[in-house]
Amino acid sequence: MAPTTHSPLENLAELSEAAKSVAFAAFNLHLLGLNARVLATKLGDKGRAFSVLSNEWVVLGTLFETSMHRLQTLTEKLLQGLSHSMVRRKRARLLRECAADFTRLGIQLDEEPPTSATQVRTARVELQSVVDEAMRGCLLGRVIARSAKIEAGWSDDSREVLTALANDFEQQLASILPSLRTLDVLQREGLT
Amino acid sequence: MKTTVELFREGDHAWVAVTRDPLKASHLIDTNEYLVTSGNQTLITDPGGIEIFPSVFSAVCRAIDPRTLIGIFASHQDPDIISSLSLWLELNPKLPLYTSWLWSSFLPHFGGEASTFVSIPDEGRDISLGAITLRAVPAHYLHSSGNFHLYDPKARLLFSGDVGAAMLPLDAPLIVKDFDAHITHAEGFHRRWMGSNEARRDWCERVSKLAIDQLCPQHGAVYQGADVGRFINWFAELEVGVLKTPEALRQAA
Ligand SMILES: [Fe+2]
Ligand SMILES: [Fe+2]
Repeated sequence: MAPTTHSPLENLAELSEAAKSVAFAAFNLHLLGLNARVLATKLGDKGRAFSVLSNEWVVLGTLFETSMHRLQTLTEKLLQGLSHSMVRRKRARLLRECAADFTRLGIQLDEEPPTSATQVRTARVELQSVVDEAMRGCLLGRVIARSAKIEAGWSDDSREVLTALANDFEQQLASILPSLRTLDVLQREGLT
Repeated sequence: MKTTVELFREGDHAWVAVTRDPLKASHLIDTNEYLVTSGNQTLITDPGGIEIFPSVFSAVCRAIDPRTLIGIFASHQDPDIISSLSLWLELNPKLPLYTSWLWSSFLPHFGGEASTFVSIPDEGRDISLGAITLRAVPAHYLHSSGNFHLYDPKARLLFSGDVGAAMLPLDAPLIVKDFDAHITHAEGFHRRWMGSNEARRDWCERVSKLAIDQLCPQHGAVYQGADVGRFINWFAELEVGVLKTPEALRQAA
C-alpha cells in the first residue's frame, strides 16, 4: 500500500480511485442508515432502542457524505495542482541542463511558482483532516453497529432482519477502512 | 477542468468524450479527447497538448481508473494531438502509442522509448481492446500526410481526428443540433487544412460504406444519426487543397 516507488502520477491515480471508492461506500452507508430508520419506525415501541441507533447511523452517514464531498473537491485540487507542478518540474529538469548558458545570458530560471506549491500543501493538510475525521467516524460506526447487533438480539420478531442490517452496516464500514488507509499513506508519502 | 460526456455504453464497452474546459486559455485551440473502454482496458485518442494535460488528466481520473489505460492512439503528429506524450508515460512508461509509421522517428521528440511507438502501416491495422477490435482507418492528407481515424464497428462510432472539426465558442454543446448552422464553423478550417481533393473523395467513398452512428472529431462537436451522412456528403462536395492566391488563403482561413 505504501506506493513510494511509484511515480507521482501513478499515486495520483491511486488517490483518485481510493477517493471514489470511499465516496461510493459513504453513499451506501447513508442509504443503510435511512433503511434502518424506516424499519425502526415500523417496529414502533418494540424498536425504540433501535430507532435511537438508526438515527445515529443517519447522522453518521450524512457526516460521511459531507466529508466525502470535501474529499472529492480536494482530490480534484490535488490532481490539478500536482499535474501542473509535474509539467513545470519536467520543463525545469530540461532547462537545468543548460542552466550555465542561461546564467551567462543573465536569465534566471524560475523555480516552481510558490502559489501552486502552497495550494498543494494546503490541500494535503485538508485531506489529512478529512481522512482523520472519516477514520474517527468509522470507529464510532463500529460501536454503533455492535450496539445495534445487541439490540437486534432482544427483538423477538425482527431479530434476523435487524441483525442483517447491522451486519451490512459493519461490512460497509470495514470496506471504507482500506481506502482511507491508502489515502492516509498517499497523503503522507506519495504526493511530492 | 474539462468535462466528460458518455457517448456510448453497452455493458462494459463505452466511449467517453473529454471536452470543453471553461478555464482554458483562449490562445489554445479547444480539443476533444476520447476514452474507449472494453472490460478493464481503456485506450485514449489524441490525448492533447502538454499545456492542457492537468485538465485532461483530472477529467480522465473522474471518468475511469486511469490505471486501466493500456494504450494511446494518435491520429497524427500535431502538438495539439500528442505533445503531452511524456507526461502520460509517467503514469505508465510501458504505454504503447499507436500512430502512423511516418511519425515514428518524429514523435520521440515529445518523449518515449523506441518500444513506445507501434507503427501503423499506410493501409491501417486492427487494434485489440478488451473484447472488441478497433480499426485504424487511413485518412492520409486529411490533413496530415500520415493520418488515421479510429473505427469501432460495435459502437458504430468513428473518431475522425481533424476531419469534421469546427471552431466553436467554448459554451457550444458537444452534439451538433443544427447542421446548417454548425457547418459554417467548419468550412474555413476544412478548405484550408485539408490538403488534397483526391484524398477527400477517397475518404468519403470509403467512410460512407461504414455503419456510423456517431462521427467524433478532435475539435468541435459530434455528428450523430443523419448528420453523419450530411457531413460526409457536405465534405464530398467541398473544394479543398492547395489554394492558389494569398487572397483565397485568407478567405478560407
Ligand atoms: Fe492537426
Ligand atoms: Fe487538431
